[in-house]
Amino acid sequence: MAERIFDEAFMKRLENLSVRFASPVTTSYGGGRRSNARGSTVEFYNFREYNQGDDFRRIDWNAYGRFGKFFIKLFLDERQLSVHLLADTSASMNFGEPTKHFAAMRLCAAFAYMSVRSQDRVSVMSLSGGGSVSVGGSVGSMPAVCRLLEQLEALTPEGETDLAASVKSVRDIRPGDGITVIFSDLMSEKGYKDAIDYLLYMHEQVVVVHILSPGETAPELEGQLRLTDSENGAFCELTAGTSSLAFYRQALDAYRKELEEYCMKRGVFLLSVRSDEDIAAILPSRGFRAGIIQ
Amino acid sequence: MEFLNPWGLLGLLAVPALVALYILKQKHKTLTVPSLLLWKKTQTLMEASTPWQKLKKNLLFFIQLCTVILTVLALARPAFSSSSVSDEIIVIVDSSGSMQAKDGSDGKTRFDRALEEVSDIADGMRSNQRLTVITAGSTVSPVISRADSKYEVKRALEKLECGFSSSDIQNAVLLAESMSDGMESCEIIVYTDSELLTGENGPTVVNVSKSRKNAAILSVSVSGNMALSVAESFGEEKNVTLELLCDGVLTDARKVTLEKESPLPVYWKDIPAGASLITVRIAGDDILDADNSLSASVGADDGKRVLIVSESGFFLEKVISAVTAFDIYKATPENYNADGGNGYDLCIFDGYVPSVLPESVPCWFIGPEEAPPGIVFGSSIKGTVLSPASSPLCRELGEYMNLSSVMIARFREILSSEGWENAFLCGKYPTVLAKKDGDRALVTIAFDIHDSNLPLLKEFPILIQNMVSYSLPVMTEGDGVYEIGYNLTVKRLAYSVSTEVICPGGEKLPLHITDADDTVLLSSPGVYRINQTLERKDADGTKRSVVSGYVISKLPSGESAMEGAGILEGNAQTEKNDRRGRIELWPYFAAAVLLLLTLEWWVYYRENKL
Repeated sequence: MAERIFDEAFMKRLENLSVRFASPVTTSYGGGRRSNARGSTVEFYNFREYNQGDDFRRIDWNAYGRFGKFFIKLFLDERQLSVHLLADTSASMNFGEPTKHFAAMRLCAAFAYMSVRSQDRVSVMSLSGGGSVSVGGSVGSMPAVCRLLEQLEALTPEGETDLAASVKSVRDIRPGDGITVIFSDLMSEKGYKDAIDYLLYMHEQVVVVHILSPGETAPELEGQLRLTDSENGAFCELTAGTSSLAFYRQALDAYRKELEEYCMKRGVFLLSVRSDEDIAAILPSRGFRAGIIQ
Repeated sequence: MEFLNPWGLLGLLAVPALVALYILKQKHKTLTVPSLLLWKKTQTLMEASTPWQKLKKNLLFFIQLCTVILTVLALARPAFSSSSVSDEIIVIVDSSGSMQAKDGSDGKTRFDRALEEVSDIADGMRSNQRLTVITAGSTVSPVISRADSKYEVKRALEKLECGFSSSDIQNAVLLAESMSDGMESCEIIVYTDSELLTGENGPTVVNVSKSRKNAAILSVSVSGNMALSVAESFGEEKNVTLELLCDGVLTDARKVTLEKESPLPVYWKDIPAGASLITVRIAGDDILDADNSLSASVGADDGKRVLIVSESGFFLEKVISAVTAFDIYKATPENYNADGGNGYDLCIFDGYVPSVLPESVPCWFIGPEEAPPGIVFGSSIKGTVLSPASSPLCRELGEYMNLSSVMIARFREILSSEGWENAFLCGKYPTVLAKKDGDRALVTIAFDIHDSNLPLLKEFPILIQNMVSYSLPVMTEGDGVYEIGYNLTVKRLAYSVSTEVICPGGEKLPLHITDADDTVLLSSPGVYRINQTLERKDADGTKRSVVSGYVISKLPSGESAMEGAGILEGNAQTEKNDRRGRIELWPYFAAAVLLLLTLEWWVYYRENKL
């Protein structure tokens, strides 16, 4: 029986974690996230002079006694956060042991679980072929999460992905309504920058989970090779050896560095994950250090 | 540039075949990767870091392509034609004895080196070029004339052998110049080891010698039990070991120092009695072997027997022992019996004529009381001085003699001398007569030598020597030592029925000298042995015997000294110039192909770690 992406043990290790959202939530639904709206929570925010039409019950009589004026106490409101989980399901994700796709689904499930526990609304989108497909719809409860998990497990990686086009095709994202997490290897010919820029343009807090397989971080190849791209069938020939692998590592390091700098400059949170790593261990450690998990 | 074998260019068809093979043979292991994004960047980095990476990938292909192209070019035999070389080339090759010197480190003789250079010229002949080869040895002989095929020239060169004689370069050049008359452009090249004086005009002289450090035995002579050899070293002082061989057996050896250009006499004592041939040789290596050994034959007259029948033959005995090495036997007329002369080589009857002459033995009758056979004596006449008769016999018996100094007191008048030939006259009367009775010589002196002043004159031994030569001719003239190239005349001995000459190499040459003398060309150094089989009849019947003589053939002294053969006007050339009319490039292409094949193996080895 294949390993499940989410089980009880995994769930228990995530129980005390939640996805960190840095700015106040601006959505209109009530939830568990602090927002700039004034509401009826117990958390005091400020005083304001009474205006005609205000509820008498909110007048602070102690302040009236001291100053002779009517003041009203304001309290913060808590709103529901929209969490958009965008999972790359292109063919390139189907590599590694376990596959990057498996790691992406596992992370996706973890983020969905943590978000629902924080009373956030989660939507999962499968990115493939320049488009996006909603997986499980909008999820806001644990039973819905369980259904989501089953649907995540049913996803198979295939086809080519144009990350930017796929991200732009997601209709659920409204400006400033929450956080968007991209699970991808970012190995797209057209790059990842347009996708991130688009999300930033939509005032989303962007989290990029960059997933690579061990075969990509430290390939063990030798001899005359014809390398075929898993997504578009393109190929290149090279003689793999000590020197060529050293150049590969150099190219990978440069790619990672460029990604880090790009994300840092734009306030995008980046979490680099290897597909064979323990996801449940990564989130409270590296995820916390990256400012993604709290 | 031209291609001598244009059909070879068809091999270029192999180039597209190779390209096709190379495309088909490429086998890459196909591997599917998530994305080529990083691998393409890797390729970019590799190409930027090592610009030759792409070439290196196809290095084997390029090497193989170059190999095929160069092989095809080699097969097509590209060649450059040199306009600086004349259309006609006449080559003179010195084939003298000194050209046999092995003075190079490669063990080749000078002659071989000269032939190699001629062969090189033949290899580079243009289609309109002609080559003539002349050898200059004892004689000048064209080997091949105006040949336009290198194979023809090479076949002729293969047959050439170097001689041992001296060379006649001047005549060879004269011949070459005569041949070049009428030719538009002709170059005469002389390959020689002689140090020739050169000038602006004339043939080009190529000196093929590298050293003239040579040691040689110049002469060997024997007298009694003593021998004398003279050795000399040319070009350097040299320590050598001289060996003495008697009839081929090593008898003595000496270590001597031969000073440069200074002949050194070496005496050898105690030559074994009975030795017929002694040889002195230089042991060890020398650049010229032909002059390292020289022989000498011990007296040819030794062992001959002469019988003098006389009452008092004192003068005769003395003079014969002085001019010959005969064994002399004496008898008186009283104890001489009828067949007493048989078995001797010469019988001298002084004042006596036997009733029966010995069979097949030359006889002299000196002052006989009775007339020899065929002669009728008259009375005794008072004589005067001797004078020559007008006959060939006079020139033979009177050679080197001053007949007018010989005075005769009296002699017997000869009334009749049928079959005899007059040699000397006294007045108008014949006094010395001779004839050949078959192979036997008969000489009659019609006066008693006591009645003349002959015993007091030098003409007496000369006359006796001439008579010995007439009666007992030797097979060869001179002292038996001749330089190579000499045409030796072999004379027929009396009663000879067959003659053969055994050359130094053991080859036997039969001579036909029954009727006349024959000649033998002495062409190689060493000992020529001449055997004549004599067949004599006596009272006991016919007896056969073999008389052997030795002739020593030696290298001309100039060849041993390796001196210049003469003076020749020409351009000296000490370094080898390229005289090829056509320079073929295929050897260079072939060498490049070998290098490329080695490089290909190395590249393949490195890439596949065999």
